[in-house]
Amino acid sequence: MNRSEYCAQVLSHLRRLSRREREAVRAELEEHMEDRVCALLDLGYDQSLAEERTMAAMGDPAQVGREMAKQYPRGWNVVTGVSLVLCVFVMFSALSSSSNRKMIGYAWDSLVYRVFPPGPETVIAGTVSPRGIEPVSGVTEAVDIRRTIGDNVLRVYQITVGTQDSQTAAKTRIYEDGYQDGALAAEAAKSQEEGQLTAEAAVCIYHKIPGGLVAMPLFNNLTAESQRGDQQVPFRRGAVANPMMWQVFLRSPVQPGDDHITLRYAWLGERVTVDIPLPEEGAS
Amino acid sequence: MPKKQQIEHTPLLVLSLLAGEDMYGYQMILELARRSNHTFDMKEGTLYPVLHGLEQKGYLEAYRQEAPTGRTRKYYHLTRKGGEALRTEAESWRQYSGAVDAVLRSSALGMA
Repeated sequence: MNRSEYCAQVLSHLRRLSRREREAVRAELEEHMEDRVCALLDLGYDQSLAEERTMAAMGDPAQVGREMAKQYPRGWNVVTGVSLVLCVFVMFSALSSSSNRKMIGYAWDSLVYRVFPPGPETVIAGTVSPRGIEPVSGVTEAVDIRRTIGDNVLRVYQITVGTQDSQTAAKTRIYEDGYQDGALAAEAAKSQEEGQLTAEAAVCIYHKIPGGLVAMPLFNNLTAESQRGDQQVPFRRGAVANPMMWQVFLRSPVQPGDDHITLRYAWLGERVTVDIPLPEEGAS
Repeated sequence: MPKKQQIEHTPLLVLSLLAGEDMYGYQMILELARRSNHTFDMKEGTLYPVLHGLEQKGYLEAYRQEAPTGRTRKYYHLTRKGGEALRTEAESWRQYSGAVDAVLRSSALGMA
């Protein structure tokens, strides 16, 4: 029997150990035998006799293997194995339900979008009733304004000043007719004619804790107004399909020379005001 | 009544060896033979299960370092927990061996 055969016989009793642990045992035994052989060679033994004496000094590899195995109780491996099986089962159960898959998708989107908020096209594609609405086209500027409202965070991440295309204005008017009261809808329609300079704030709202649900009043009670207090366009478009992360567009008519619009939230006595500076080029 | 011996002889001897300095396996075998005047010549492979057992219990911790021979070896270091175990078990062993010795001496007196 040579050194590697000795190690192999010891390791044959250690199948429960991890590969790393087994390699550590092998290395340690080989190093010990190397030291022993070198010492015997220094004493004048020839190689084969030194190897033979070393094997004899090491003792029965089966006994060493059995004793070593006792030092690594099986219990931990069993617990690890059972835990692994349980984890796989729980994950499989979670993914086998379509509603659970949706919730996992919502949670993932809420994580990604709070770091990388989506562009207007993505938001519009996710709206409940998109009706071919186009975002305001004009001068866009990235901003990062955050306010905590209750357990939620309101983040303004983009402001655009420009005009709406006529098709969008018309479709919005149809939608507003069916949704708002007549007088308000008429006013909205009037202000959304082509050529009206409009500021559009892209906003996302998420719970402070990833996976938490956003409070509904945050969507319904959020408005935008110009610096003169004009608030004639109750325009809210949001992707409410994800209850953990809403993206909302809020529009307000502006006039050349305006330097900001204001977002207002008011609900049950709580009031939050956020001024959003307009891009200089767009409002001039 | 003296506390029952918890650690077998070889682990106790290993802990005792490492109380002085950190050592690797082959070095321990040589040192054990030297200090015991070759009374404790053991099958060398059986030292490693003992070392790994003590390491699992937290009595020893291991690290790799270059030995005086120039080869890198796995050194063992006695932890604080190992030091406490050594003190307890050494005291227990002394009481046990003292009791055996007392019995043997009384028997020798009786035979005289």
